[in-house]
Amino acid sequence: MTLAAGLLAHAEALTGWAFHGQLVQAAATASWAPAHICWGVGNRAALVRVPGMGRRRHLEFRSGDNSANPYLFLTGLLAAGLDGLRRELPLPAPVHGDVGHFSAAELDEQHVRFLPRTLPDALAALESDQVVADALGPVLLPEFIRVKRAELEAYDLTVHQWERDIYLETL
Amino acid sequence: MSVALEPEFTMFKPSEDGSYTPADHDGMFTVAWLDRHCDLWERIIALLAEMGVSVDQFGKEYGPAAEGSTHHGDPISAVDDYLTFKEVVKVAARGGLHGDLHAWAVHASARQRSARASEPVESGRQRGSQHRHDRRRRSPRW
Repeated sequence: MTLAAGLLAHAEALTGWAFHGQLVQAAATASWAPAHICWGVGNRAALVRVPGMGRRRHLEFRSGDNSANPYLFLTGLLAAGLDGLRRELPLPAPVHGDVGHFSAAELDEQHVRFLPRTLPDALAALESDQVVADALGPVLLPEFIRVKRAELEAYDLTVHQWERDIYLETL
Repeated sequence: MSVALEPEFTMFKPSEDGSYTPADHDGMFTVAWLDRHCDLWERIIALLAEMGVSVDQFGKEYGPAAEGSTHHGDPISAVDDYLTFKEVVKVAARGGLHGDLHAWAVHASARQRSARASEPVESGRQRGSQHRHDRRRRSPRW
């Protein structure tokens, strides 16, 4: 289970790899898509889910989507798990229930933090995680971050349809 | 370490105004959705078998999405299989394999993809590769 602890320890950085563009927002709270850093047994709301505690066990990392580069994402994931094994990181207590509906006080009490909520936050977490950075190498990672920040700049300069729909009549 | 990826996807149908709306709203653990597109799944599974990729499951998710997964294996093979799965599902659903499916389009779900990582000591690994080998030799059904 120290493998799971590694996945949790590096979950914030992994979010930087797991999605494209603004899709980080897709992991909305209370949607069963994981928005918090936690694990649970048979818990479909947890980021790391151990489906059962039988003899043959596997674990699921439930973040990420089809827009990620799966080779790179899995590289980061394996590096995170390996770090947990090597350093024998302690596993926090499992979370029971739908963490998406926990109150702020409940989250605080169980030491459950949010995953990065925006792409800038996810990229900052990715940039500052040495284990994930080492796994991805000194050429690929800085270039990836440069590309994503260039995309963000273009995104920020775009007037989106939602803004037209909501604000056009107020002009 | 044995890994599998579980991609979610949503099937859309075209409306008269040219926009697309989700084609299925069945609940999770239901089979009506599988029945409705049975020919499509048979073609996808047969084509993937011919390409050496073994499908472990198709299932309906909560909401309009569904998910499928290929058999677990070493990380590189698992990702190779996942990408093959993704492309075959898209091509098949868009009608690239059979003209009668032209009404369907598949868009990758924005929600999530799960990566399942087995515990390092995996007793089922050998059985898994045997299973995979068997599927690889099976001839397609169409």
